[in-house]
Amino acid sequence: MNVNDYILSGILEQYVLGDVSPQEKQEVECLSHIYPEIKEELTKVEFALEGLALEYSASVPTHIKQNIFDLINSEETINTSQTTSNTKVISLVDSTDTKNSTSKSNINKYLIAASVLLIASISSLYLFLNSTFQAKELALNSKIESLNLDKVQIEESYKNQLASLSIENNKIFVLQANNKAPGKTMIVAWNKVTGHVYVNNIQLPSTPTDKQYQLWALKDGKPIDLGVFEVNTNLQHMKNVQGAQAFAVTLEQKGGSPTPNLEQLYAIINI
Amino acid sequence: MIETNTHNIHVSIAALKAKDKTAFADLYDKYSGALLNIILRIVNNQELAEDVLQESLLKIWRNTDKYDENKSTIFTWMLNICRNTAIDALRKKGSRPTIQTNIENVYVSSSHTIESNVNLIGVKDSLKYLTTEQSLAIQAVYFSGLTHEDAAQYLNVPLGTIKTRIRMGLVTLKKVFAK
Repeated sequence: MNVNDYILSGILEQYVLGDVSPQEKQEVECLSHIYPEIKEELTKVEFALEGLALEYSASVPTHIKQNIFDLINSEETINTSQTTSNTKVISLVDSTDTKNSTSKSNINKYLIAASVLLIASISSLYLFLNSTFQAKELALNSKIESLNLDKVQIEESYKNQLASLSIENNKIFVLQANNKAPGKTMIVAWNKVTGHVYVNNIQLPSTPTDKQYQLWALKDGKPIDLGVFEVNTNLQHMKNVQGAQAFAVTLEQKGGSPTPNLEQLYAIINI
Repeated sequence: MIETNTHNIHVSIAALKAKDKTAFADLYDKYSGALLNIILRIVNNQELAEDVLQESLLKIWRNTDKYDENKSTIFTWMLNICRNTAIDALRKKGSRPTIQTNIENVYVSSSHTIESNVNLIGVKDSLKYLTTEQSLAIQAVYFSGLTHEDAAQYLNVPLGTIKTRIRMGLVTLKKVFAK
């Protein structure tokens, strides 16, 4: 009954009372999104504290309401007048355009003359250098051919890897550890299509010899075991998962547990 | 002038998000008194509290589109804005939230009711269902904006005890306010 333990830990009360770290805040929001029991409990706490607050209302001087609505109304007026002045600026630019049309046609004549001169010089330069270019072109063509061959080979060898690692299908998540390992992070990469899951760059503290970190996916309120991982190795391939809604890491007995121990939750991220 | 009991007002969240001023007025009528009370207990100064309330409500109005119904109730969201604004205002003044004397008044009073320095409206007084210890713990953290650690230090009990008192107090309050 991990969810119950979590509810009984008092964290939901602390959350509503505004006394949680940003990590804990994210944790509560994630878990309440996934577990309806936690959400229900959270709402009950919120309503209880709202009820209490409403009982102890202070009398508010009436001029405060007046002030607030005056400010809101004046903000609206400013916004409206800004829109009107923008329209005026646009029409001013239009009229300037018409005035300048005569001088513009003069500029155009000079531009045309300059272009003709430029084309003439380029043509003579081309004729002069053409023979040299032809020789170089042959050499270049053969180089391009050999490069094309290389390219085909490279493409072939990377094709499968590209398919499994296509950027579109892969999502990279940076999991931030909670107050059990403040400031530490790890990476989870998940391919939504193939379901492949990898962990990498694990900064979590080393575990005692009888414990291991375990990765979980959460789906429709149910935790799915994605296997255990070590802290001191690079890219590790975990179990596949489809349709995950969150990833979480807990510290479990060596070899992993069938259900996560939320008391030992180190990190969680919503997808 | 004192507002009448307006707790039963229904506030339309959809209208609020569409920047409907009538809906915002409803929100104001329902919650401004409760919010002012909590701000007052954090800043302990009537004038400053009114400024904080005004600033907070303007923030709330400008950011209604950012409120996420799936994450919290509208009151929790507004309360967080008010709390942060109040604590910021205190920081600007160079002070931090302190326990209010009215907490001590509660402690010495024979009944478990709160003796507040502000006018109470429509008090059902659900705190009377709690033990004095639970009531004090909830007031210190909820109304005075203390952290659990500060409240534990102030009431001279271990942190775990404060957490338990708050939790047990809320178990009772949840029943009182069960919908």
